[in-house]
Amino acid sequence: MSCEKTLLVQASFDGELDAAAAADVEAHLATCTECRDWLKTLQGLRAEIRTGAAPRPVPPHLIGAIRSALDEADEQTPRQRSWTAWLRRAAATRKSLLVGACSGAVGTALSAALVIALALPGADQRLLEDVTAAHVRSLMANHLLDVTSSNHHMVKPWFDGRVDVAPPVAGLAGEGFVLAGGRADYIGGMRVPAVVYRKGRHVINLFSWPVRGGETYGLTEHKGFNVLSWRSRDLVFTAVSDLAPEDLKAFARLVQKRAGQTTE
Amino acid sequence: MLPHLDAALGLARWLARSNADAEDVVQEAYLRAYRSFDGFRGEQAKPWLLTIVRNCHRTQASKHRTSRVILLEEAQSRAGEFAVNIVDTVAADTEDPEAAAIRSDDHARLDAAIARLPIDFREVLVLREFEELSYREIAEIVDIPMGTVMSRLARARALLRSAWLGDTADEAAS
Repeated sequence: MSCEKTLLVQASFDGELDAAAAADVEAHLATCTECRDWLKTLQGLRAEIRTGAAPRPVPPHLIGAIRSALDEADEQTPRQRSWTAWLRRAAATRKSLLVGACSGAVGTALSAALVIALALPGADQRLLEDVTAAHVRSLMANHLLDVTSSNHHMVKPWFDGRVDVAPPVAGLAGEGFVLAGGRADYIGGMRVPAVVYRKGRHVINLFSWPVRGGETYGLTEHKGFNVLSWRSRDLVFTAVSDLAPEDLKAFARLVQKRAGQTTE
Repeated sequence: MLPHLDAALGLARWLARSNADAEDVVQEAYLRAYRSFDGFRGEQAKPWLLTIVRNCHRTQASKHRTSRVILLEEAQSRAGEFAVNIVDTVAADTEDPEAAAIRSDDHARLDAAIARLPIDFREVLVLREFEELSYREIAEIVDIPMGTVMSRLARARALLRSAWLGDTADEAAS
């Protein structure tokens, strides 16, 4: 290929250009046969690659092999390296940073205002970090469930006394979300319940805690996971999963519907 | 269960070109990911994990190179076997065997062409087309400048085009 715009055409095809640059490429394509052919090649290859691709499932024996390798590693280095320890240490560091920042802010009103401005959006960011870290940890450190049951009459009472809120626990198996159990977790300085559901091989961790004000709700992507937050009466719900956004929203709607029916 | 296992195994299969090697790579990668979780800060989990998969494959491949020399023909025949495995999977998963045969035949030729690409070109192509990562993410995973991502990607696609056209020309001649 001799045209110097080859890489730009490719970047436009790959969605890497802003609107203005993409418009320049469009204009160039109108005058350059070589680049039009190149674009057709790119489109043809992608169509063939993506339409003909066969689903290639992960063999169960591999999942087993990875799990036992991880368990073994966990036993070799029990506390200091485990993800649980990482989370606790991260939480402790943040707390001391905040305390440090606040004591420094006593001096002038200006720096106090700065700390508040920084702290407010940060609270959401921290919660986001915490729920995602808890989700990842639950998947990889083999600590998904403290109570294993698909029966919500078993899971719901288990939380009593272990966490600060009593989460609604619903059986949603009929809708494709199978209740797997529950776990007590530590998010934003609170002991919170994580109700765990599965859809196929996907895991959903559903956290809930009391509304504290200033929360933002909606769908975010964080570290490759989808995080969906909503409010139902006096509780904040946050679902974390590698499910597609639409599936996660469908899950949230079901949970909301069920909570509406069963809340005492 | 394990996050991004599909993507990790998919990448490993394309890099290693054999299922057994790919599974070894993925297992090692998850162990490394677990051990280096302390070093994980704020990045996206998927590119982070794929970086580890890629580096594990590089390590494993260099071990293989010192223990035995892989002849070009052997590498090509491994790529061929890989393509045949894919064809079998496609055929098994589709209801209409005749349509599947035609579709999978075309597709298998392309898969075989991808599997034959030199590793430097193959990895950027797979990360872009199969994992749908951005240039920036690919640059970080492979540890090359964005400009190099673009030129390698273009080279990979141009090679695939000539492999594709070359095969078609062979068929017309025979």
